[in-house]
Amino acid sequence: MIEKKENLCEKCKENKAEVKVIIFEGGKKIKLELCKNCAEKESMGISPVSSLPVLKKEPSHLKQEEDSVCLNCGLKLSEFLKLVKLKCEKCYESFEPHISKIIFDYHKASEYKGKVYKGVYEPNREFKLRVLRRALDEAIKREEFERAARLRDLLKEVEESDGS
Amino acid sequence: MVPDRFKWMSEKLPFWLRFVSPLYGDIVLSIRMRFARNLKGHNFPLFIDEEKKVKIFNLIKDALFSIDKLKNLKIYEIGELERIEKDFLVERHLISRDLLREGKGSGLAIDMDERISIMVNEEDHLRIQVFYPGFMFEEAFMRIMEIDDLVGSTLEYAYNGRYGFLTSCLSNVGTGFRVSCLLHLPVSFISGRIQDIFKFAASSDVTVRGYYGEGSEVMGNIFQFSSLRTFGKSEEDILSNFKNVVYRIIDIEKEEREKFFKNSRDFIEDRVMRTIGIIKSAKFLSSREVMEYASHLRLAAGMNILNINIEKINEIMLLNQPAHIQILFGKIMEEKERDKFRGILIRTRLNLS
Repeated sequence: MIEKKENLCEKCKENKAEVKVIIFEGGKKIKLELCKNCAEKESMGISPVSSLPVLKKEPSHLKQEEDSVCLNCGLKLSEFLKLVKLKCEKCYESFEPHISKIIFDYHKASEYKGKVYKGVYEPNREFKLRVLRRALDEAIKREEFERAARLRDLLKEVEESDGS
Repeated sequence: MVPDRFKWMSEKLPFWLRFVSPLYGDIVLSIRMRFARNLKGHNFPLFIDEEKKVKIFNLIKDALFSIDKLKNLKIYEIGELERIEKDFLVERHLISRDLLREGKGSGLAIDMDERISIMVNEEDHLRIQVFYPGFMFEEAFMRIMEIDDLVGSTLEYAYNGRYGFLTSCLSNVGTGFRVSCLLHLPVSFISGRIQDIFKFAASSDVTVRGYYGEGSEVMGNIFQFSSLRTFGKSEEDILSNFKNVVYRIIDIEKEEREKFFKNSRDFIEDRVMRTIGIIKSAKFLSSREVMEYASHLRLAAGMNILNINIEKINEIMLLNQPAHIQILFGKIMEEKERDKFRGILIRTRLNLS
């Protein structure tokens, strides 16, 4: 008797197929049985090559003498480049210039913009008001009256708050 | 026996499903935002042992209890939960699959209405998340900013002026901010316009995933869209870019629905009546099947072909999932038995028996 083989992933033909996925090819809907890894990449017909930038793993050409270590946590540069995960906050300084390069490649930016934090947050009432006023304008322009009413209530709430 | 720890939760709908916005509520199921944060002076969770994790877990727990607006959160440690309960939380979108692999010292804090879920010691020490219905982006944003302000003023975060908030993975560094939403796009899917949507989203820094349920197949024509980059743009700009993408997708789906409605009203009506017929008479209903049916019903309800509340259909989309069925009926069941009870549950909830 021939033993029935386990279904293999239709993409990599290596791992066990565990996931059914629908993809689009040439305008047609195609059902595929894939392993978890390939499914993650192929699901919804968008392969990460076109949409998701991937954090580059580059363990390869690092010579032993070029390896270094984060003095705070002991993670080696070579380990970091393999995992692309950091072990502690100080790794960010220890592994320059690799960090800034990887961040730039992935996020296409080199300057941080966002919340300012100095152990505590600064009061951000003005910021909240600005966000809400903008949204209110947007809602009015789009004639989203129910949303506009909700935003007005929210604005009032923030305006009447003590600013903390 | 199924533990009854989450009975309170299973008997009601989360806020994000209960309230259907009159605005785009037929297309936008829910929105979610999150901040990834780590504590200053502690190694990131992927690299620390259980003992250390427990220490951080307790630190965070104490901090949350000390904050007036957050002290009512319920806190659970993953290690104390049964398999079925963990699946239940994933089905409810409250925790990630990654958190399931953790044990002692990892967990979550949730509020009764499921607007807030804070994951502790997943990939980062803190993943602060909020869940809102429909198009309530600003409500969600104000809420998550507030929670982050409160937590960040009680515990000290890992942060530096050059990179912002420091995370274990460089794909989250900077703002640590991500916004996502679940969109129901049945007609764009049938007509093929979904490909335009995917391309457009990808070119606008937005990624697409399916609504992964049992078997991880895309189900019920529900797609999850998420903002991609966290560094180089402020939280506000990330949000406003994302909103614009969602607006555009909603417009496409609406356009397609209008065309479809004009040309194929009979088809939609026929499909809905057949769907109701099956739900009324089938002995076994699988979860995947029900998601498809719910999608048909949802579309018909949104186009006023069917007189049924979208809330009711949302309810079914949530309750029909495997762990939910078992928690609701209070026993561990095999697939076939679940399929039988699912039929009973859905007929009752839709008044179709």
